[in-house]
Amino acid sequence: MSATAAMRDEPLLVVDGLCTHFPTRAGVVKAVDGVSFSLRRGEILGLVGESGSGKSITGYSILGLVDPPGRVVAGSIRYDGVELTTLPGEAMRRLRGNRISMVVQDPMATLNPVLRIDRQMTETILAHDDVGEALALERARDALLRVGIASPDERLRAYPHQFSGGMRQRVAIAIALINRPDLVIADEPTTALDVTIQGQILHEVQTLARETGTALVWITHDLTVVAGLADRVCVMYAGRIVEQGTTAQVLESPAHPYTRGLLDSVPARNARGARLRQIPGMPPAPLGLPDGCAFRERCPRADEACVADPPMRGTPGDPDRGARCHHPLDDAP
Amino acid sequence: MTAFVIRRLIESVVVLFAMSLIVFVGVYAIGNPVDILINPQAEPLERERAIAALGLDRPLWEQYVTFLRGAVTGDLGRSFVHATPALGLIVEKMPATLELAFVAMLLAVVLGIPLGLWAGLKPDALSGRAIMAGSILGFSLPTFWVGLMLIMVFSVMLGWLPSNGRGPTVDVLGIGVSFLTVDGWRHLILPATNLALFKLALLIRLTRAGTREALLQDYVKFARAKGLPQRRVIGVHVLRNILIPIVTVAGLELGSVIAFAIVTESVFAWPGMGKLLIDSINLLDRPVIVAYLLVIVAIFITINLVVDVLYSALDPRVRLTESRG
Repeated sequence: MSATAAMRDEPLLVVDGLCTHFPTRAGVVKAVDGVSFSLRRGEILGLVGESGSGKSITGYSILGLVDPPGRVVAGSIRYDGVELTTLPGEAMRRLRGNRISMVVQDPMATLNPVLRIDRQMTETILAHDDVGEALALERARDALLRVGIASPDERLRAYPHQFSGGMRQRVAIAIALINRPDLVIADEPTTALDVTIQGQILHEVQTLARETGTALVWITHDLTVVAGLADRVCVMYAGRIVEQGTTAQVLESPAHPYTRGLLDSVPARNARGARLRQIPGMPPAPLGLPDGCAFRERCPRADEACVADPPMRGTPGDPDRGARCHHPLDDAP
Repeated sequence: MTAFVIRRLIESVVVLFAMSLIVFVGVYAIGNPVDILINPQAEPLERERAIAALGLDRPLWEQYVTFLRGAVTGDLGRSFVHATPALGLIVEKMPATLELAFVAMLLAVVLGIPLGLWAGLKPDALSGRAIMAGSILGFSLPTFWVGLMLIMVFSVMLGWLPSNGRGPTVDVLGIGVSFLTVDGWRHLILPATNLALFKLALLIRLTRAGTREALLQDYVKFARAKGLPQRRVIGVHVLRNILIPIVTVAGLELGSVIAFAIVTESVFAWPGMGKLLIDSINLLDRPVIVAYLLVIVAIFITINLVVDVLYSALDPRVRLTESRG
């Protein structure tokens, strides 16, 4: 899209201080509370966290698809120089599925059960580009071939229930990529699949993203997925990014005790026969988060300093590397 | 599909047979038509003859076998009162009831689905709440009272619409219908509204519940994420899914409107089957009651079959299982 090198260097997506809150009768749930990150063209970012950490809501906020009563209450989301939080509905619709698209978690529920695959694919093209049925069908066919679905002509005339889970997710990915978007937000798209299928799809998505220069935000709770896929990683906890850096930096020398805890609870990383190390306690309730560091009640390094909100501490010379902790771990793993 | 229809038809015959037995025994256990139909001052001999003529001197099982023999050839017995075939009486009154029922159901569907969609899309808006409050009225006000109020306002006070009867009918293929003339519509609109009100309330609530549920589904979220315009998300993705339960309920309700339009037909003196049934019950005209109930069972069976066929057209998952079966 961009012609000059200067524009190439400019990030595709800049999320700055994003706050998405859900007012409820019991109080305001701060699902996303001051999230900032940026993404360059073609880059793959892993957004990692437990359920309820706000990672999915961050994704939906970018697309402007937060379910009411949830609302983006503060912060900015700039996509290719355009501010999305204040973009009118129709302009946002034209971006969705066209420049920014999404793949959601459950492949069984993503596709409409009563519509044929061809219709669900061509409508995505025709909503943005009035090319006519025939050409749209041709593109849909190509898109299915790209995600490794054999005999696409036959498959186009089928209904979702005639596909396996892995196939459905391939179709969903094909739909997400059909208009060659700049950015795909993938919300745990492989979590519900068999491990073998998961591996295939990860590999294919990575290849497709690299080929087409599509940037990816890959939302997951699974650090092992991120390890093989992402260029950079943001770790979320209780609505905030607590650590960010390149995949190697975060996975090999985590600075935040929470990241360390997550890594330690991956079975493959533990010595055989040794007891799995777990993070003690539970994630805090979304209502009434404690002041200061939200992780301090589960943190082995917490002391009275942690009652104060820790700022994101960057690394000199590397603004994309940092952790939100008063007592970061030493770099030595 | 053909195999499915044939299997259903065989099932229907079994259901009809079982129903005939239940209805026959049930109706013959109530009252004694002899007391009503035969002049109490009649001579004992004349009385005996009349009882024999009606076939009431025979034991129950023999009466049933006689009825069944006739039923197989399409003869559901003769009316005690009119001395004409019971089925003929019913068929004669049927167009009036069917017309009323279809117009009422059409009103309920044409208004109920859009209002329900609106209420489901805007559950917190004033308009959405007003629709729901209105539907509660539709549920809770008794039909006869609403009918009387409609007559009161539109016939008595305003004098806009006639309060009873069917008005002049136009013959189409030998069947008298009202909906082809303005005057026919003037007669039709009040009873049809009366009959539609409850069904309208039901469809509004059903559509609203379906819409609210569908909006939370991943496929709706994904449709939005694809950048589809709102009208396509609602009109295609949501509506196609919620139509499945709506068709089922609307079909069953159509059956019940045909069978039990009695209250409305009585209030508006609509010359339909419901009025015939009431009259027949009052006079203990057993053959007509039995024939009426069997016709209703047949109508329900037919509607259910149509609903099932529609169902498979709407839901591809049903289609697949059926083609296997």
